Amino acid sequence: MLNNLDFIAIPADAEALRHRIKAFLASRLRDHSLDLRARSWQGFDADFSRSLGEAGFIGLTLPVEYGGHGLGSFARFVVLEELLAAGAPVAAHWIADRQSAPLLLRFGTEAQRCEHIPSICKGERFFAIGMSEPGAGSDLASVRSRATPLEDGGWRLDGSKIWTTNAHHAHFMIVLVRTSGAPEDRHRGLSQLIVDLSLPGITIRPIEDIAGDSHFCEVHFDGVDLPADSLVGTEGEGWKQVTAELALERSGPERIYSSLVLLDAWIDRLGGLEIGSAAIQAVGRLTAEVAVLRAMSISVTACLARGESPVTEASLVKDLGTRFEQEVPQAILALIDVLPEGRRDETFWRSLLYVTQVSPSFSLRGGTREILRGIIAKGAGLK
Amino acid sequence: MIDEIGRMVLDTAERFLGDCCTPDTLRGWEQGGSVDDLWAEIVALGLADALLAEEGGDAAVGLPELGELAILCGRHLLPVPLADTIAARAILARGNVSIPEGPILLAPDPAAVWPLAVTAHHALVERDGALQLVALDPSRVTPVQRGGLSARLDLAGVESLIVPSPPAPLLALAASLRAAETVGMLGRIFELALAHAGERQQFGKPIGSFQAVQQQLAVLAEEHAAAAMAVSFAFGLPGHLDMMRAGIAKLRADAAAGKGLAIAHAVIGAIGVSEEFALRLFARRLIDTRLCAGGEAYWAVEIGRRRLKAGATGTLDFIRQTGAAG
Repeated sequence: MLNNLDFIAIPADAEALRHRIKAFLASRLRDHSLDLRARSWQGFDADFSRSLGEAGFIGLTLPVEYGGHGLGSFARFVVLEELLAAGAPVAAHWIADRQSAPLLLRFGTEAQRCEHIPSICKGERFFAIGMSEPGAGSDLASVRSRATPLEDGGWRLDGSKIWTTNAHHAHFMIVLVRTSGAPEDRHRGLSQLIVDLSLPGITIRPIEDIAGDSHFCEVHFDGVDLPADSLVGTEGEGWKQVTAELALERSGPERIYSSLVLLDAWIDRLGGLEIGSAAIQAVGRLTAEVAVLRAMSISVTACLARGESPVTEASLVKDLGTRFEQEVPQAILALIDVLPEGRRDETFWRSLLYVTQVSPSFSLRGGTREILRGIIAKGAGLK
Repeated sequence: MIDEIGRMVLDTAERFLGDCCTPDTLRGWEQGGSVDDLWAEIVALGLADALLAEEGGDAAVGLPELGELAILCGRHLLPVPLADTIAARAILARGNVSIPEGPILLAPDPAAVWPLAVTAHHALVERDGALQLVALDPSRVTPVQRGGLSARLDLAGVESLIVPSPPAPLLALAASLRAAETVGMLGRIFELALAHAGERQQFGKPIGSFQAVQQQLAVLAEEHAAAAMAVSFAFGLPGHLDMMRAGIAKLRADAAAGKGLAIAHAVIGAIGVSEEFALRLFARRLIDTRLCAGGEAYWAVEIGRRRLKAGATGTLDFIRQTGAAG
């Protein structure tokens, strides 16, 4: 089942982008504090996203006619991993670039593509993804939010979404809602609709998280009238579309690098110290794991480059990746006494607290560990 | 990339190993049955040299084919050190040392316990700061466990031949090959556990339909995949094996072996620790393999020291340098 995962080197043409993105980040992130960078792809900075778009680093795989750069999956991988390793605040455009634009390209109408993709590539238009609901988390097929068809071909949207990342900053949201049937019909009758978040009838309430940040939101739709061209793809095919989208959401390097800035900061602070074997071993194990996970993520990228939808492989790499991401703060906590007081500066301390506190979410967002393992078991033929 | 000829050799090896290594024959060899006929067939098939013929023995020990072949050896629990022999023959050829007949074991540290030492005729060892070829006298190869192929070597006073050192350290080579064999064994125990989960009924249904079992099997699949990638990373680059990639492979494969074997035992249940069920053949060899060529802590320190030395270089750049052709 896993024969797809062989070691592959990143092709030279994709590697050629690396020095450009490194140079961009070196100048652009000079003044970003460690604890800001430790937020990894949760760091929101609209100005940064705009300048990244201006420099040509958003929409790398999207066609040139829609404002993209027509490059391959490997080019995108190189840029993403450099952004993540540097701790660039990419949250503003991340979801639009990763999921919404590819979704619109694949299933959207020509008008929808022309309307949204160019401004996504410029880093000016931000998207949120409305999947989870108060009563539907891992059991996504049980969504209750509903869009009722109107006579003019439009839709009236009612319901709630929750844990929606950055809805309060986003301009649009693509929601998975029921357009026909009842919740008992499960994935039949679900559709994806694109919602302008400035429309009347929409209430967005940020939810403060454990670290004091507010990136999650609760979004209520109270009789929101949507125009006819809000439907993305085919009515009733939402489940199939979402499944394809989740392979994109789960396969990227952000599922292995979320704790990398913290790890590097810790290793940097260990420099020159006489440290015991336990800490050296931890550094060795974590480093080895990054090497293996990166190689796996690159081969999943190769699957995408071949036009495959590596659902099982992506689940597998995400579960292993988030295990590593969660292990980093745990290892540092267990070895905290290795670091003398003089090396526990405030920004390091804040970074450690932040990553430790939010790390449980690494294996929740984008499909929980248990759901992923269910997908892997199914891929192995278990029913 | 494995070319067509390499693929043919591997297909031949896969068929041959699949036919000759059955639970019954494996038990026979473990109980002291002669492996001479088996080795003669391997030689007749050209497997001991096939992968290296065209390279003229030139530092060819980083070939992806060798890694794949070692995976097959592990998968079928071949009781002779074939992958070691291929690597050793390349090293000897490169050093213009005449190549002895019979299986050759790679035993960087001759004082340690080595799997498959019992069936080897010679060993390449590191002694007194030099690479040496020694003949193994069966009376001085002591199995550490009844019915096991792992043994301690007594080389005191044994004459040896000095061999010019290859570009890849012997330990890196031995560690990578053991990691590859572990990957082969993990693949098989996953299949054994999966088949058992599909057949074994409890509470009126196959145990594989329980989520608690499915989730564990998913973790076993993940561990196997991670170890396989670590090995693919070690063997898949041009040039020779290096300590970093060998260490990553051995460290990750050993960790996977620990976790994976525990899961296979949990899924298969009590019969898994019985003599009659095939799992125990894999369990013993997996444990033996984990115990040689540097354990997890050894390699974690090797890798950790190198990473710490790189200091402020980020982990990504450090890893990318490791991934550059060595």
